[in-house]
Amino acid sequence: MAVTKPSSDAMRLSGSSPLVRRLKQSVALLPAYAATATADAPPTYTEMGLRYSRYSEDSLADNQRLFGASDRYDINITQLWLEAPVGDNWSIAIDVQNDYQTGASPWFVGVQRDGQPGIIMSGASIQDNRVEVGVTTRYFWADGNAGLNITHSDEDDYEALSWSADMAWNSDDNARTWSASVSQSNDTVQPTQEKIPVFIDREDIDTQSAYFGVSQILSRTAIFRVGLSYTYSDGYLTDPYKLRDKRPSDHSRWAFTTGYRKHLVDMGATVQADYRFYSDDWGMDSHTLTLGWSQPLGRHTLKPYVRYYSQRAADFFDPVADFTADYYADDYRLSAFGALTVGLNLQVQLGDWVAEAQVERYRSNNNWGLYEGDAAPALVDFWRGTIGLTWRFE
Amino acid sequence: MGGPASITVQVPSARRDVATASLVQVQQTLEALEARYSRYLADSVVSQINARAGREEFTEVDEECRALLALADTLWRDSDGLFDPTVGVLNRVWDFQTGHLVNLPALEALQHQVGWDSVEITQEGVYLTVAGSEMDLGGLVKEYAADTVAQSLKEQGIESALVALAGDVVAVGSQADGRPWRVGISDPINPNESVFSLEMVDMAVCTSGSYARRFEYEGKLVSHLLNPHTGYPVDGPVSVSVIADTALIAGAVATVACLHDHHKAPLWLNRSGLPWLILDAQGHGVGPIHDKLNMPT
Repeated sequence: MAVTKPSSDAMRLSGSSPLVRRLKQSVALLPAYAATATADAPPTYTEMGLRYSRYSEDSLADNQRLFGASDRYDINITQLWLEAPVGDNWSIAIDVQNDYQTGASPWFVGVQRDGQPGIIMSGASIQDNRVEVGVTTRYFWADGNAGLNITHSDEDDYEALSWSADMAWNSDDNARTWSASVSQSNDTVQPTQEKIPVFIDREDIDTQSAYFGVSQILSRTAIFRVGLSYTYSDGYLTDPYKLRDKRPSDHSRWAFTTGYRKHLVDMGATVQADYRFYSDDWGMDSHTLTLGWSQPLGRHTLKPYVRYYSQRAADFFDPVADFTADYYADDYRLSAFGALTVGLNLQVQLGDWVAEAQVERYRSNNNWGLYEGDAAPALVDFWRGTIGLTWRFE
Repeated sequence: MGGPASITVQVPSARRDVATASLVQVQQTLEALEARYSRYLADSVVSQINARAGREEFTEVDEECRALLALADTLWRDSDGLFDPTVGVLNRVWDFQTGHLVNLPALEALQHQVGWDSVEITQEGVYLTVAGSEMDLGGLVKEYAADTVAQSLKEQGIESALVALAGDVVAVGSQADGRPWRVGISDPINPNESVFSLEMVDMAVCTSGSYARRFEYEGKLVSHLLNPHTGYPVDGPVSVSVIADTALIAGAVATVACLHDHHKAPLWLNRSGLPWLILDAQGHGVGPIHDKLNMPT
């Protein structure tokens, strides 16, 4: 009678095929299978997705605008991605994104007859197309995974080449995961002179960043995470399309993030809370609080969310820039303001397909923030809508 | 559970009382699982779900049941609907003794009561949307029971045990003297004899098959397993054995293999990446385990 040996090749238990990983995921919560659940493994399916988003800023009111077009930016974003397992321990992901942008932006802020700041817009609508391609490869082992990403972005006046490396590793009981990443980006800005003058030919920006975080499973229904990141940029950081804009040639930023997820068993829903504190050496601080609710509807999911944001102005910001100072800017993005976002995301499961739709409304106002500061007249409000389709297959 | 059960525990003499207590707990575990999931017991959760079919009444289920239903759902999707816990109603129209389809119109009517996609599982519980439909989780529960018993023995400090529930076998550690457990796989021709043995340490082997329950239909010996899409018997493998680290995974893969025809069963098994063996009615084998052992074809 033939006899097999436990150590023989025939008996080697791979157990890491996508099919078996899916089966194990189904029963991972049962005590009898907790030890065999694979903490880290390549995706169990190949996924391909297509997503379209439209971002549309509200037009400027007449009493805000001194001169130029009232229509602001509209951006059409198309994304295509593919993520697939490769062998037992690898995955690969490819992301392609195309942004098509039209509209006008604030050129500088002047003073109206009534003494109030007024915006001079950039004139006729610009048209700009950006293409970004990124490739990520990831290696999985029993206690963690590591990834390497390279991304190239190109548009008429800006090119960026970046790489990043990240790693996550789990504790022996799989209750804690440490994450770390580093990244580097080399950018080149070469502004195009059309309706408004620009004063540089070609400049470079280099950015490095690092992140470290920990997530902890608190119970079978709750998870908590914290993280800290540092980013440093140097080079030409001034906005070349703003007349009154001169910024330091380096910029250090810190961000602290934390998040909490709690599954409410009786309701079958999950509540989500995320907070981020940001601070930089330009004098800006910000707080971001996001609250969300994930509600299953049969095989589908509905996720309403709300986000509050408050920002302190940069040290060199003024609603009407003082260009006698060493540094100055009237860019509304550097002003003190608060913002509120409300959004709704719906995912519909259709067999091997997932359809997604999301709508988001963003409003900002100087009086909504936690920090004192002069109001920028060009604060933006926008709508963003997204539709997407994902197909998963083996 | 509808089949023979055998639990072997090896402990030093000084721990005989631990072994005795563990076996008592094992019996209680098996009885509790039977009480929860047997469709032959009126109070089981499965019977309650079946009794409320088509009445717009959800039956509350716990996390354990939800996990088993999630596994059934994954198997249903990955097998293109061949694995379907609602197929059991079709057994009523077949006489497996004579191999006759009792009533063709009844088969067509009952087809409407088959379909896992008609099962609603929400936070409220489980609901069979079609009146007269039934679900049966017996196959999965038997394998789950083997793993649960093995886990229970480990939690009680048992390091050497062999759990055998019908065709599902789980080895806990090795034997007390360090030798692997030796498990025989039945010969389809002589089920009381083994065609080969496995030496097992901390692994599971499950054998699914119909060698004891085949019947003649239109001149061929076919399985008692029915294709949910057609309602007719599957012309599939006689015996499939799969090795995995748990009985639930090994058994699920082996069961679905038996639901495929002879050509597609190996493709399904290769997808799993697990060691497998298919035996035909004459005891001839194919598969990675067969190839490694240079067994006669």
